[in-house]
Amino acid sequence: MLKYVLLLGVLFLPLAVLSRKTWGAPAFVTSGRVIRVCLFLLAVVLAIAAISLFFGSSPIDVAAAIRWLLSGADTAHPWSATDQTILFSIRLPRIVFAGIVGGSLAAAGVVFQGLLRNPLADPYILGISSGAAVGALCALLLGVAFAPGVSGSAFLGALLTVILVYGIARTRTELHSATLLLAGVIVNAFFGAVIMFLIATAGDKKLHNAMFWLMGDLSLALWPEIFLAGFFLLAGFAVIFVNARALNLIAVSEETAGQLGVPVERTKTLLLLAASLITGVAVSVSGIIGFAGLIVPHLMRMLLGSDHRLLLPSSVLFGGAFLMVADTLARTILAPSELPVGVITALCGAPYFIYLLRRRG
Amino acid sequence: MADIKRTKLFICLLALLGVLMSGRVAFCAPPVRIVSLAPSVTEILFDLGTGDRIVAVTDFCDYPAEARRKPRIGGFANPSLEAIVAARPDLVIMTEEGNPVEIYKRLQKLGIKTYIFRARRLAELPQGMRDLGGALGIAGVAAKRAAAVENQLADLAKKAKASAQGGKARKALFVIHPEPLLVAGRDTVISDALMLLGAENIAANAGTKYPKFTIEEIVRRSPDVIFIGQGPMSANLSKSLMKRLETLEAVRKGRVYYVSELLYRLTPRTVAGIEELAGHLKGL
Repeated sequence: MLKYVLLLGVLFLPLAVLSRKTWGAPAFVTSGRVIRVCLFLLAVVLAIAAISLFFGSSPIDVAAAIRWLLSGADTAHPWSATDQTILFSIRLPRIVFAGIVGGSLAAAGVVFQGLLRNPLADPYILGISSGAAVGALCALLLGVAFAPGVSGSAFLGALLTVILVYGIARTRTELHSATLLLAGVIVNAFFGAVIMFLIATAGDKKLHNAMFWLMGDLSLALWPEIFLAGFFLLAGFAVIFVNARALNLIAVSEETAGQLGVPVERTKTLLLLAASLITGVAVSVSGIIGFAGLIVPHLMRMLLGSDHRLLLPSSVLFGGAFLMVADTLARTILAPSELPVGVITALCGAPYFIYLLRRRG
Repeated sequence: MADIKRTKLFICLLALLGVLMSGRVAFCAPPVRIVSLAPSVTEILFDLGTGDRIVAVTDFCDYPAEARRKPRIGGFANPSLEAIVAARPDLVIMTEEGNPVEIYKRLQKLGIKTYIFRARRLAELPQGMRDLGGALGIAGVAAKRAAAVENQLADLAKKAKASAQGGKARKALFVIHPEPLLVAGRDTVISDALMLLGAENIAANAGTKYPKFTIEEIVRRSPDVIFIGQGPMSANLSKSLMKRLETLEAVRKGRVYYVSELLYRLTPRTVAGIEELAGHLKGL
């Protein structure tokens, strides 16, 4: 019990620090402030990753591990090979992956909320998740035996969905936010029906796998997939961060942004594609993890203000930390059984979010 | 100084060689630290007398009683990879259906030996037991148990044939869950069992193994006998189902039987489940 308090404390106490006037007051965003906040959050991420490493269904002899590390990995005092496998081949990849997926979802959430000027927007609002789910379920249930496998066909599904939604929403000259939203809703509903159909007709033991995929599963990613997701997050982040200033203006009003010299349509398309791609990759390797991409950007906006130059990096870092903690809870609370991580993100996130809303109001 | 270093290096190399050799030896020897990822596999392992070699089982492995006392590694569809590795197994036994293929891949990557238990149909059980016995180095015991199961099955089939004696094949329906109405469809052990007993499963031509069936279709195909698998609430839940089926002859004549869940798992105990069905069918 105590260790869970510690873990949640490391996640939530920094928020109290961030909300103090000197750090958090939505005043100017200077590069100094961005760097200060990001370094602070990075430290939180690293601390959580380190602590999570020692959470798990099987106890790890922490003292022995540290002794072994301090003695320079000495072969004369071999530390348990099983523990080593568990720490470095099973837990470490999972923790890193949770961080990357959390960061990806938060980054995409920031972009969608800003561009669509809609507080309900999350990474899945354009139907990317249901498109990916259709792809994944096809591979899982129909046993489509082609090379990309489950995550490959999920990514394919996500990609096709993005193309479809933009195709529907785009007129010759511009991309209307409202049309885009509606296109997303419709495509979401359509794929939702396809998912139901696939599940209803499968009626088999494969259904278990499908359900677990739909609820999000971070446990089975391998290093190549993790690096791939990390690469897409970094690349997407770079593209979005470079355009953060333009995003600030567009989030207020597209007309004003245009008058101030922002190439609105080009920027919007670029940002949406970047965010969609990040989401698509994250969803296709991890399944659908709800709530993280919605709540983290809001949380950061409440604490740090809505300047995307600060909001984006802080959301990525805190999103990573948030999902790491959620996944650690998901895999340990009922150990050795695992809960879907989405259960934890919503169960922990929603009440805290309500508290923040009430306190502000 | 240099000498000491060299000696140390030499000892290290020797130790490494020793580890490699012992690994080799262990590779040839029959596995003694087994993790079972399916309730049916656990039961068969105990049946073959290798229960003491099991180091971990799933949350669903509840038979025999000793299995409940084994350490757990999580669910059937979502076993915890970490818990499996922590059990330091020298063999992980999985099933094709139910266990995620990703777990298989990860275990291979980690260099943990796996064995896939492939038997899924009633007729495949004896051979599955023989193959498993071969992998565990107890081929003799397994062959004996498999032959016993084969004999019991043949015996049941013979008796059923004798009691039917030219009569028309009886139509049966096996309800797995009353609400929503799930029944045993084609390619299932239950369907196999009914066929073995000379009864016809009216849901055998459904598209999936455990189809969601319509009341209308049941009424139209009018089974002579209805079996309801005993779940925690099946008696309560099936009340309304019986109400809706009350025009059926099987219901009016009271040919609705609650049977144990033995047929849900393909193990030597399945035979007892088939005997139960046979007992009910005989009286018709």
